[in-house]
Formats: sequence, C-alpha cells, structure tokens
Amino acid sequence: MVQKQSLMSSTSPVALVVTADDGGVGKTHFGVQFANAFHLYGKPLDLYQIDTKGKLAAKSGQEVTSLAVPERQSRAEELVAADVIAPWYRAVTAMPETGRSSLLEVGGAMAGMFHAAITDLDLTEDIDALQLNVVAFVLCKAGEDSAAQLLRELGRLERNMPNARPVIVANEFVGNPVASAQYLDSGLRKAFSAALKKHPVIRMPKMRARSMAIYERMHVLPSTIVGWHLDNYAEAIRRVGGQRDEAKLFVKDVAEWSGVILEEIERVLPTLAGGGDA
Amino acid sequence: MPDRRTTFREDVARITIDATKASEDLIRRLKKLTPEELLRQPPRVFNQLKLDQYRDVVATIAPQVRLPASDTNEVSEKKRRSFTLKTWWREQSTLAQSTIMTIIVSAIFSGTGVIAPLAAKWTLSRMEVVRSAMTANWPVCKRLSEYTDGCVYYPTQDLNWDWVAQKLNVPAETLRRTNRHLPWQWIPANAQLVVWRERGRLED
Repeated sequence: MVQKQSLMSSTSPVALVVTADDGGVGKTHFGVQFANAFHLYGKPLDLYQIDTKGKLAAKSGQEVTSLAVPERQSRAEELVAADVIAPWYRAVTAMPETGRSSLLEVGGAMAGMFHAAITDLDLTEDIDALQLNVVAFVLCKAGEDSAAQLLRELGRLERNMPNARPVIVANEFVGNPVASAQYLDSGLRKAFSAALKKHPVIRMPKMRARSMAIYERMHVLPSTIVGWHLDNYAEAIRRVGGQRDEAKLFVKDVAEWSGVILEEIERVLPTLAGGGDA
Repeated sequence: MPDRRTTFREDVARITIDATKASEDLIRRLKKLTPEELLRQPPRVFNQLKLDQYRDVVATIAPQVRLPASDTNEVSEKKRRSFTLKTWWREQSTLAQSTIMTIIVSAIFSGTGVIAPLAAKWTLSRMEVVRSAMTANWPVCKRLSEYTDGCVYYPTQDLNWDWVAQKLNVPAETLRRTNRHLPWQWIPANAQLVVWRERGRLED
C-alpha cells in the first residue's frame, strides 16, 4: 500500500506526464496545480505542453515550452513524433544532472503521437538505465466515454512505458467518477474498478462554476489568488470586477479547491516537501 | 521566516475561517428578513448559499413553506445496505460471481438433502394414529398393505397367517399376538383381524 501511495522514493527530480486521451477533463488545471505545488515548495519545474492551444501557459502565467507539431508542406513530408517531444525527452534524461523536474501536458488529440514518440525513443530503456522517476497522471471525469478513454490510456502506458508509475486523477467537475462507476456498463465497470484498485487515485474536487469561470481568466497561480486576502481582498475585487462578497467567495473557492488538490498531490508525491530551497 | 507552503496553508485556513464567518453573518442577516424581502434579494446573494443553508433560511422565515426533499436527504439504512451489496456484487469479476453462486447453490442443495428427510420424519411423526381401546369402533381395512394400520379386516375366506403377515409387512408372531382371539393355525373367514402396528396411541 505504501508502495502504491508513495511515488517519489527520494528527493530526486521527477518527470510528470499529464495525459488523458481526451479533451476537457482538466489536464491544464491539474498541470497548473502542479506548477503551484512546485512553486510553493521552491522546487524547479519546467513546463512543457504538446498542444496547439497553449492553454497551460495562459492559465498558469508561467513560462511553458510548447512542443508544436510542425506544419507539413506536403503529404510526402514525414512527421517524426520523436522530433516533437525531443526537448522534453532531453530535459527528462538530463534530470539526474540538472536536478530539475519537468511536467509535460499531452493535449487530448496528441496522446497517440506522444506514445509513438516515447516508443521510438525507447524511453523505457532510459528510465531503467538512468533510474528516472516518471509518473504519469491520467485524468478522467464521470461518464462512460471518459472511463473507456482512461482504460485505453492506462493500457498504452503499460505497454509503452511499463516502468513509469500511473496515477488516476478523478476530476469531479461533472460528478465523482469513482462513485458514478457503478452506473457503467458491466464490462467497462469491472475494468474501471480493477484500474482503481491497481493504481493510486487522487481526486480533483469541483469548484463552483462561477468561480471557475473567473479563475480561468486570471492567468495566475492559485497561490497568488489565495494571497489576495492579505490586502483585504482589494486586488481580488479589482480583478474580479464585481462586489466584495463575490471577490471573497472567489478567493475562498480557489483556496479550498487548491488546498485539496495540493494535499492530494502531496499524498502521491510525499517527498515533494523534502530538500526544497524555498 | 515561514516557507511558501506553510504560508499557503495558513492563508487557506484563514480564508476558510473568514468565509465561514461571512456565511454565518449572511445567514443571520437573511433570517431577519420577511419572506417578501428575501425574494427581493439579488441572485448573487443566493449564489453564496449552499442548498442546506437556503433551506435553513426558508425554514426560519417561512416555516409554512415546504421545500421538496433534497437529494442529500437521508437514505434508509436498509436501502443503503442493499445498494452497497448490489455495488459490491457488480464490482466482482465474472469468475468471482460464478464461484460465489456455485458455493451458494451447493450449500442450498446440501442443506436441502440433509434437512428434507429430517423435516419429513418430524412432520410424519405428527400424523399419529389414535384409536379407542375398543376395536368395535375401528374402521374397516379396505385392503392389506404395508401402510395399513389401526383398522380391522374381515377376510372373505380362510387365510394363512404368514401370507397376511407378508402382505402387511409385519412379523407373523406380532400379528398373532395382536389377534390372540383367533386360532393359532389360520385366520377364519369373517373373523375380525385387528391390524395394529403399535406406532399409534390407544385411548379410553
């Protein structure tokens, strides 16, 4: 059980992959929470994304390396998946020397390309040879499609990166995926339940829709928003552009939401707190 | 100097306390309103209330208003147990379900095999033959068989003791002892042959 819960065996840097094989499940929000957690612990974290939308950079307000898929001039021009993720790959394999952790958000439509790339690069071999700590966070929301996509992504991870450790992130914004699993079709439900037993599960609670809408246009880390209570919510009122009560509610919602997610992250990465320089 | 994580944790706790206090103040204020005044509040006021808080406010200022039951109302213990059992069953693999069903069915058949004969014996033992001490009131045996008991038989011709004993499936000596009034050698025609297996009860 301890093995299942603790995914960082030392204070060594960690490569985090946030994926889902699905869009709109909260990968970017979860990635921002990681940026927040590493910021709070004073640990260096390099952010990468394979996504054409650049949402991680926009929502976190942090510097993010975008692994853009080059536009092909013709059909004959071959797309080499390994070339796309090469910057992230180099950062991950250099972790023992640099001591910097990295996070890669894989856009919903890019999961296939990511798997093709790590297979081409044989990342599995690097993980063993360099003793890299790679943790893949697979997000899901309540519903049959998302459960099926979670299982497909877990299956691909087990095939293509068997020595990485998957963690299931249950995003509760449209309901609790774990509790609602009982309504899934029989075969899918059993496979989903087995996956929940096999891998650690962390929850991503729901935030009020109104506060989430405001949060999405703030483009700052949650810890920054939480800090707005210090000036008696003046900054929150200014940024929210509404009444004081609305601003306070917004800050409270972000604080509660981020507080829970941070604790969940700490649960699966308990040594995140160790050896910080903050 | 506290680190960022500690500061963040303290901030979250502080904000939560502030929000709880603000929420309590709001509810206290709303509870002082009349129903009409409550309805005139802007939507942002209601946005700040959780469902149970709204119900609490309404129950205070307009007790005659009955709000529909919420989803969070308590589910009966029986329903919850049944739901949990169903969920548990559905989460089992097909192999586990088959194994459990095999064990249950085997247990039912084994139990039936053991319990049924005992139950039959107990039930039949209750069907006791009760006759008066005087055979004059006994019913007439319609036929001689291994199930015949507690009746009198009138043969239409002379019969052999052993043949009758075989028909009744009792020892000939037992049959003779019950019918001491008859000749030792044979059973005469029209004589009263008493059939009594001594399993029943004679009463005065």
